[in-house]
Amino acid sequence: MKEFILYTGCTTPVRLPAYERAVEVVLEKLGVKLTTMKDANCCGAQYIESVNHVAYSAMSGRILAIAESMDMDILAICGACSGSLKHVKHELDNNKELRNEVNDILEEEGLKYTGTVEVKHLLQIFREDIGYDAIKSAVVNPYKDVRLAAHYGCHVTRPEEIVHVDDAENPTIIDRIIEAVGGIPVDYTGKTRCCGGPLLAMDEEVANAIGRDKIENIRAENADGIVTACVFCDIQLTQVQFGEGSNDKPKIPVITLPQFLGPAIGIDFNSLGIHLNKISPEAILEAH
Amino acid sequence: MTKKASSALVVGGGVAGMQAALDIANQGFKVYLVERSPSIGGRMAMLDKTFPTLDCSACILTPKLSEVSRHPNIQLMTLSEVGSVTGSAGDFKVKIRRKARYVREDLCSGCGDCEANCPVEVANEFDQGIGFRKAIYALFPQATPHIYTVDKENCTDCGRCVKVCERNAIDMNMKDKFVTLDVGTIIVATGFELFDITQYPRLGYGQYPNVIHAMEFERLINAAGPTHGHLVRLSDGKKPKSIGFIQCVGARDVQKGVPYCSRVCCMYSIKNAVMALEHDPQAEVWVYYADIRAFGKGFEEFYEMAKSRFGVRFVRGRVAEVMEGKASHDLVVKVEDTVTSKVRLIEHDLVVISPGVIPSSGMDTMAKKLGIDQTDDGYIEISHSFFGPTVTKIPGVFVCGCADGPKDIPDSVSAGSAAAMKATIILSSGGK
Amino acid sequence: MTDQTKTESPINHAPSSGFAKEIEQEPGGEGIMKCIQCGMCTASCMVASMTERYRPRKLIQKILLGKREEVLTSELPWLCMTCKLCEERCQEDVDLSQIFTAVREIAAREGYVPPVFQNTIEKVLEDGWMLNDAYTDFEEDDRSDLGLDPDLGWNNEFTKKIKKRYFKGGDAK
Repeated sequence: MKEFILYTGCTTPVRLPAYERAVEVVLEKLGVKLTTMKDANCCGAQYIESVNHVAYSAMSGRILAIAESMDMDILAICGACSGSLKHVKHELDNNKELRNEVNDILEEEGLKYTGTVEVKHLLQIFREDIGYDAIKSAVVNPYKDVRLAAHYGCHVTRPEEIVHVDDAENPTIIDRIIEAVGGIPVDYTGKTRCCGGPLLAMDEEVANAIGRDKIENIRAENADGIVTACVFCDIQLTQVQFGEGSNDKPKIPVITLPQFLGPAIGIDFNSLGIHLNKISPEAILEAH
Repeated sequence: MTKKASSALVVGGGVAGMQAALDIANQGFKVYLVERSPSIGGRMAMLDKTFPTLDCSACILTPKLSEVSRHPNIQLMTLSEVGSVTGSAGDFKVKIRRKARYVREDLCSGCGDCEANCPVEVANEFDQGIGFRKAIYALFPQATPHIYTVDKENCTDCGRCVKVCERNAIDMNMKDKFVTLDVGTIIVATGFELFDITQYPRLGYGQYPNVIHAMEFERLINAAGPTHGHLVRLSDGKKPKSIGFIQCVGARDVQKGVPYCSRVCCMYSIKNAVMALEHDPQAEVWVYYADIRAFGKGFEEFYEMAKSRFGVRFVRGRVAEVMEGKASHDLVVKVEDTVTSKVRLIEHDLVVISPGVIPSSGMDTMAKKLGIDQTDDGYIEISHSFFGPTVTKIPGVFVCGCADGPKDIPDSVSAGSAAAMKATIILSSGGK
Repeated sequence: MTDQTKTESPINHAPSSGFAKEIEQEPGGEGIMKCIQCGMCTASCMVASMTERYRPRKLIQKILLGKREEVLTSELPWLCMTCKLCEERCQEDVDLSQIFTAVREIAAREGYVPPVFQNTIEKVLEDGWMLNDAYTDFEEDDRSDLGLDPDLGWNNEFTKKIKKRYFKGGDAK
């Protein structure tokens, strides 16, 4: 069984715990064992990252060093975390001065970064460690006649030369998984555009306009639901359909990839936390 | 003068190679003109009109095709490829593979009865895959030599062509032949191809039927093309009312490995834009660019004429995305007009991408065979841009046309003559 | 008569400070001089699509023109979502998002950070993670119900160390 150390990031445990649980049960069923990282800290994405890049490198660096101390590669399920950890790993691997500086602070705890562990995003686990064939073989209850739009997330896929998750200009991992379980993957205008999440802090109105634009582009393709691979994107694409500025059109369910995959491979709704999804995806999950 | 030193080999039958062959032949030397496709003429034969004069490309090219084919000193070897090359200046031995045509060159009169009776239709590469051709075909109406060729891969061996040919010119048992040429000099004139724009998924080429590239546009407006010169949309055959041209795709792009400027695209696009308006003066034509490079004689005036006389609209902004309306297959271009700083979504019913040019396929192999160097972008390296623009590092091997870098037709022709001169200097001196 | 060619031109077209060069030295800033202002970035940018006040191309231009103070005290560099669509498509390989991050760091050093960023930074450094205040009994219950450990075990010792070393008078680089 392949083993990874799960780094949840700040947001998932609090705002989307169903995603965390779904990742655990689905991956276990498909032969990947996870150990949740304890005693972790924020990866420093966006905020610390913007004001002090050494502090930022130290914060993500500590996560990398903890994984190294446990001799396990990291699985990141949030796009921002995945992006940060991969970016900082790249910097630490190539910048001796920075690495020494970070190791200097880590030394106090007995931690050290030497670069032996890899960072993977959830999508890489599906493609590289599990494989599409294994997913297909595990299907016991295939979907039928259900149209799904994949939203990959900016920090999940870009910059391709650092993160190496998928073809950033034309990503296909989620679409292939949708297909493997009997769903119909649907392309839409602006597929690789941002959900708007990162702008919420500075300008909520514009951030939500960006998110709503995405929803309407997806709606134009008559998609039954949106499948996500980042906690932040999932929350943003859900919440823009509520509140100020949202319209009266029917809400499109937003569902994380493992929650979508689960029922097809025989996992019950409860274990996937489906009842916690703000827009019920039951119509999709029952399309067999 | 020994027999050995008195012949030249020109590889590539496009306009540069033909010019080189003619100039060498007119000085009394023998020239072998080797071309890998079934006919000489190259890219120029595919074009409709040339810039900046709007000359009909075929009208100015076809007399050259005749001249080359009739020249007593030029031996045309089409459907042929260069194999191995040994030797040195004055004394090269070049093995040529003459691929089986399945039609006897000495018997075929080019009457076309075979083609008319062939039941197989395949996508026509000359028409950029838009039109169809038969499995026995001539590349274009003025193909030279005007001898048919059998596409063995798609031929179903029904035998109808064989039956109908009055001269019994079709021989399905033909095999590739190999000949060895003794030549004193070699000129590489292998031309260019277009950058593969499917590498830009955000522009929709290959996904949206009404996003085409410049060469497809050229075939659509050409009277000998798949639509008999009617500019129509590929999704529904309707005349486009609004056309957008996108520049700098596959050119001036560091991230796609083509950092250099492709030199010809600004001008060919302005020409295409003008032609679109010639076909339909009521149409709206937009060109999206980063810079307009109208550097040659008459070019700036042509650009001005496109704007003032024809009303082509130019927007300074590189296009980020092309979006499609699924039902209508109409398109929307997302661009920032950098003059007004407005981000605009502009509707078109046809989008033409102007690809940059890259060296012809097989350039790496060719360069290795000849022992010449390539620059980082894959083009043949010349010894000095001032003093040896057609000279390579191997004495006796010269280059012209787009093989060493993007060029328009006049520059390609000049280079052909220049290379011919370099070649005949060697041939005249008996190979020294 | 004075020699006209020797008098100084009244119009100075040179960048008004070494700001562009300063950014060029930052990681990710190397390509800034290559910008030809083609607009690909702005055409790709979703923030630019939804608000007139933000044009990444113009922000880069301001840096190239040396408008250091204007850029450092502006909110504009903080509007970048770091989605990197611009970086993916820029044909000169200018890394805008990284450039704006470098600008933010310099701005922070000189005392300009938007309040919302400042607040979150302080929280993260204090708590070790972002959502300490948002983690209430309701969320704990949801986790327990799902079979997840309600004790999240975040470490805040480290971030306190970070704060001490890099944020309180310590040398940032």
